[in-house]
Amino acid sequence: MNRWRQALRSRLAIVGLILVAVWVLFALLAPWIAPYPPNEIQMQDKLLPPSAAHWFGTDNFGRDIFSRILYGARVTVWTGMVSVGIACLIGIPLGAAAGYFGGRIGNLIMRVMDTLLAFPSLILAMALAASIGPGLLGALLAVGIVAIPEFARLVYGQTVVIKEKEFIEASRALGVRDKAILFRHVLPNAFAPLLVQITLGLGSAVLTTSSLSFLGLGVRPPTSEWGAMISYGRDYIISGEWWMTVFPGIAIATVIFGFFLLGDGLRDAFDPHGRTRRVTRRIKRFSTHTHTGSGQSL
Amino acid sequence: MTLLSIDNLAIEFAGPSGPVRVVDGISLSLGEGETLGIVGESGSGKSVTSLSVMRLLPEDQAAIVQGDIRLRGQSLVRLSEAEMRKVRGNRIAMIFQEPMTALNPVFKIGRQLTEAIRQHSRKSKREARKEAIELLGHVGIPLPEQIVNVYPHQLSGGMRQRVMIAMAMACDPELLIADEPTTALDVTIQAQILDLMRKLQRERGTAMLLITHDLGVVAETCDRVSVMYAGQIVEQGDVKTVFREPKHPYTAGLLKSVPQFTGEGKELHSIAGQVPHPSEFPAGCRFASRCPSRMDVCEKVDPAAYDFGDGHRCKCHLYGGRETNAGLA
Repeated sequence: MNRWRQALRSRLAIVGLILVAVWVLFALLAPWIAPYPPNEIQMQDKLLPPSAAHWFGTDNFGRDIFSRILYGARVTVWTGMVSVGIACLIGIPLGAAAGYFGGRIGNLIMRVMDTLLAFPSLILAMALAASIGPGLLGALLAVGIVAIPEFARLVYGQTVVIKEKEFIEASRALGVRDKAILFRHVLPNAFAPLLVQITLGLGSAVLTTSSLSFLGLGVRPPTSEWGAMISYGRDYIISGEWWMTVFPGIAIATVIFGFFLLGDGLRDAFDPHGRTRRVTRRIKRFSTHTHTGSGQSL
Repeated sequence: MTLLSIDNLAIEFAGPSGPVRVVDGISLSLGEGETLGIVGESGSGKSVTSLSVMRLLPEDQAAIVQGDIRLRGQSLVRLSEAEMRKVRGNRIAMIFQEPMTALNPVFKIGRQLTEAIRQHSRKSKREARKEAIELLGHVGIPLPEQIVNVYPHQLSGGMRQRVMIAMAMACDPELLIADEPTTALDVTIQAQILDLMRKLQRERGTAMLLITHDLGVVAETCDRVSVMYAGQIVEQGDVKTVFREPKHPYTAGLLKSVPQFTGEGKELHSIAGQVPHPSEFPAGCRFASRCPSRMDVCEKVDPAAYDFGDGHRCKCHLYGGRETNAGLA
């Protein structure tokens, strides 16, 4: 497993790995490390600034923001995994089938994917979430569906290249059936770029879910979710209660930053030729993501 | 007994302006345990012919439009895809030109070999693995117990080609198709691989269809040879006969183009011009434009094949009615 070692050697990737690992740990251990129940309303403690009792302060209902962020990490980890899982489960077979068998159906699949890609992802996610109905499930499905074309496109491209390789012909010459060739020979060869895409996709999924929640299309109150927390805090920025928005904002930023660093590190590990400064480029795109939503394509 | 017979085979590829006939009217036969060499320049249709025997031509681009391919009398052209899969790897196996790319880079050698073994036999993974190690030893790979645990990139080209041969031999095929098996290898390794293939062939009685552009390889390995030019077989026969007294001007030219390291340093003979593109094949003899013995008739009429006995046949107007049995230029 030389490549893994190589990935870990890259310091930025380690920072990314630590960021992601810390948040996953927080999510897992939230019930034990959170100082307060996340939804406990204490009206007498409302809008307290950060202090020893409330590290990140309290919100307009007197809920402890630190505890809510820890519990919010559970929602975040969950949404990331489920939505990327949906995208993989549908996108990978579609792209692989389209790439391997080609023909009219393959063409049709990829044109549908292109159509989906043409929409800014946040707008598409909003439309989907709104039509599925607000709530976490709707948001998960929406984010997952939006990510399908990216996986399909990646796997399609990989499959088209790999299926022309001689070892594919060699397996056909051994009498292996197409389905087995696809799963046993084509997809394993596309694993490296897929892993990178999954990592980066997790970051994007977190962002889109938070954006949906911010817009009121994600989780329902009182579930603590970072995007929703920023949305509640929005009205209090002017009156000076900055902690309601800043801390969830930092949480979102660090998770996404962590996934992007990790994804870049993995990509460099698997592709020794392309050690460019992709992180900076990605951050630039990332900043345009919330406006156009299309900045996250790779 | 005839193992493989190809009868008047024609293959067309889809071209930008209609179908293009890449292989035209090829007939050949291969007996059990026999080795037939198919020689020709790039683009002469030799690889396409071998792929068509495996029915591995890209279906959306190429089609067998005429003729038949029979394995022990059974038509392969008419088999369903599922039936054909039982033939591939099992009764007919194939070795490819590029050992560097013919193995899946992400799996260990052992796994790929066991896949080949288990493809056509009901063996447990453990049995298949044991057999894989035996096979590797058999193709002359040192320390086979360790080689099953390495990835293809850890092996040299020659070693990989040995693995490919082991994979092809896994199910003890009746026919082995080797498409330029030594072209990508160093000369010293080439000889070793050819020796190995001959050895296995003798031991197992496998027939071999050897596609190559290397006349030396043919002379060393084959019993009979078919010379292909522009999608047709222009001459075929016993290797010794064909090489000693080539009838077709193209065969003669090819033989003269082989570098000789004995005698004085003369300039190497070359056949001027190039193989015409399949969409531009002339109506007459396809070699006419490059032929040193060209006659008027050559450009207008496609020559018939003339028999010189013992299966030595040549497709050339020089022997029209055998009246002009003059020596070749």
